[in-house]
Amino acid sequence: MTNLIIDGQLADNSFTHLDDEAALPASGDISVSAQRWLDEADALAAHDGTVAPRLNGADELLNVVAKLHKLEVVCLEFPAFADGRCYSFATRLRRSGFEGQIRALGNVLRDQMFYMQRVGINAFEVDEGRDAEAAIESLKDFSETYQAASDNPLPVYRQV
Amino acid sequence: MYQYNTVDQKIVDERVEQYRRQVERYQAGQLSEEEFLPLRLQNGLYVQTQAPMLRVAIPYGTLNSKQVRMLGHIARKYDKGYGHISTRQNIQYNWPTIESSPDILADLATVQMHAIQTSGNCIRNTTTDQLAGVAKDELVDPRPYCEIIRQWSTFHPEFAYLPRKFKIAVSSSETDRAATKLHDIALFLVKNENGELGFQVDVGGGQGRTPIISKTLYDWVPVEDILSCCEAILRIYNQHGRRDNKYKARIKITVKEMGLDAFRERVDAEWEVIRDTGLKLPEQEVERMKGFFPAFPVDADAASDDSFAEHEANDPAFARWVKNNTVETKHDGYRSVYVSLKAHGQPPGDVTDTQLEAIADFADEYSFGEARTTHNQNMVLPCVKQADLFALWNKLREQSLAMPNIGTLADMICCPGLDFCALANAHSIPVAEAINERFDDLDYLYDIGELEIKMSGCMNACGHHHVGHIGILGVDKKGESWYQITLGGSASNDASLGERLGPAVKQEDMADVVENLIKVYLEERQEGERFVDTVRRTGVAPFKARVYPATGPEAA
Repeated sequence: MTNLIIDGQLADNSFTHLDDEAALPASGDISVSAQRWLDEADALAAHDGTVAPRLNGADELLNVVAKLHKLEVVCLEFPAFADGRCYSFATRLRRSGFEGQIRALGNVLRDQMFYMQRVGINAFEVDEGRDAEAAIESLKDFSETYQAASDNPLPVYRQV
Repeated sequence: MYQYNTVDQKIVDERVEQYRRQVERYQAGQLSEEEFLPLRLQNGLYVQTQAPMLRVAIPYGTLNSKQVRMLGHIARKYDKGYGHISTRQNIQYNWPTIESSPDILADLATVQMHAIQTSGNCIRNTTTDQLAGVAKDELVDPRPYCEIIRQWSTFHPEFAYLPRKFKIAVSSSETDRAATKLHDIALFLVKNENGELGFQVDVGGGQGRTPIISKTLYDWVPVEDILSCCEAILRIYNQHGRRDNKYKARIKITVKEMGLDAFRERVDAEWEVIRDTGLKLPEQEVERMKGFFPAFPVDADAASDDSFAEHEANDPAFARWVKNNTVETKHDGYRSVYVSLKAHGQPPGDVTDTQLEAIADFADEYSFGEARTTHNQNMVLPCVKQADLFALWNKLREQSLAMPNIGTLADMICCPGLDFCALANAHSIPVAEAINERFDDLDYLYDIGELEIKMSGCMNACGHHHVGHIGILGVDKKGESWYQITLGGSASNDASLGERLGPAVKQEDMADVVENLIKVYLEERQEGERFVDTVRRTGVAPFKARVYPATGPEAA
């Protein structure tokens, strides 16, 4: 059973999330840490498959933003669901014009997904052992929003 | 005051349903304690010593009579018949059950109320002057701006998991009545040299273990840029605030460690990018919000009434109450009435179901249907005709709401302390009671004059002890409650942190200690000096010498 939601639908997960010690596979979609993504840029450029940088809140986002046009997927890692730094990263990625996939990884729980969706995260690898299908419901918790965010650049009083 | 439209109502109703589902999942074991924690906190529910505590939001302290009545209903139906006004102008219930909490929120939603973001590491209830809209020393009514901030900050998707809680206050008066400089963002409505309205933006104030007075980040920000300014500050804080140590996670520490100038540079860079986006606050929106807060439709001849002066002349008790518990408004012949929640024998700030219902009735009859809560844990009927004051006073007395002690030593700020709070190290309510018993002579209280005693049962400082003229901090010593005392703090325009007097003292000695402090003040004071003024002039030395005569301060 997949734990991946993309654009509000369950989806098969083609990605392998490599840690820094893991050898690059011959092919296939992968994510690597932001540091490895910088350090091994040449090797990764030649990789047969999509390569996504994987950031947590401690990383420097600007390195990634500079190369956004080359990217299809950016992964944001939540080491704990209460660590909110990556919400700001998602906001900054979207306003930089990134239209690809922003995927939340790590301690991703349904109760945070409505907010994640609003800041521009559109793919969720729901925490192991959780019901991803049920989690989709949480994306519809609210039908109205007050403030401008990545999903709607207009605050409530400018919406018709 | 602000009235919900269909969007506001829908958001609050959907929130209740979302929370109800979360409680069900928690009870079914699908949500762990840890996962449920921020969800219940952001809906106002704490788990306390005795029972859960629910903190209900009172946005910028403004209530209509229907809402006050609902607060009474909730006290009766779900609690033990009372609530507690907090130092953030909210109301807390000490005895609800977790199971009933969604029903309480549903009841609140019927009168346009909620408990959203009253706790948790998010943007909390925006506070302001309890006399907003009627204060004589007000530049403009701050409430339209508070409501704009409320809407921007409510369910802000990016700022629900901040390093720590985040508090915003707005002040628009010469005398700051909202402890504004003790907030993460302190906004002061001011005019620039061209006479244009804007905000002085301070940042990094706060209490807790490391009390800091806010510092000015920008002298003047145009009204249209205030939301982008706040958002830029929050974004920098969200990314750079410390998450490794709860006690160093407030923005005050971020600013301190980064340095104000470096912090400003980062905010500037961020602000530049977002200033001209959907965050720009159009004038029409400000005007629309102002429309919700029209001036009260007062009677222009109200001041021509003679009965008020007659009652004052004939009834000293009434005159005393008028002098202490009411203030003039900007409308001739109308006064704001402080409803004292500091009667002897009740914990400071507690208010019963019947008192709440009575206050709702008084609001309808005498104050254009409005009431306010104050950060000093009292309530206010903002605009009462002078001709009605005598009748109102009599009715307030019947409800034990007319203790003429506002601004005196007996008007203590006090957290719930060890009697209710899971965080507390020491009792605070019994100490307040002991001090009140010692100072039960009103004439003596009036002679002492303006004196703010603020007491917290632990260093989280919910009772604002750092900024009390006399600050009292409860500490635990081998299972006993002891108290550290500071002198000379203030939360107003002259905001300052109190200086420590000496070693902690025992609970049973507290009334003696306060009495000794007062005696020193009465001996030392010069013409017109308040307690805090004397402390600032003399320093704490003479007070120390009296409180610690045998050992002397050096023994500390």
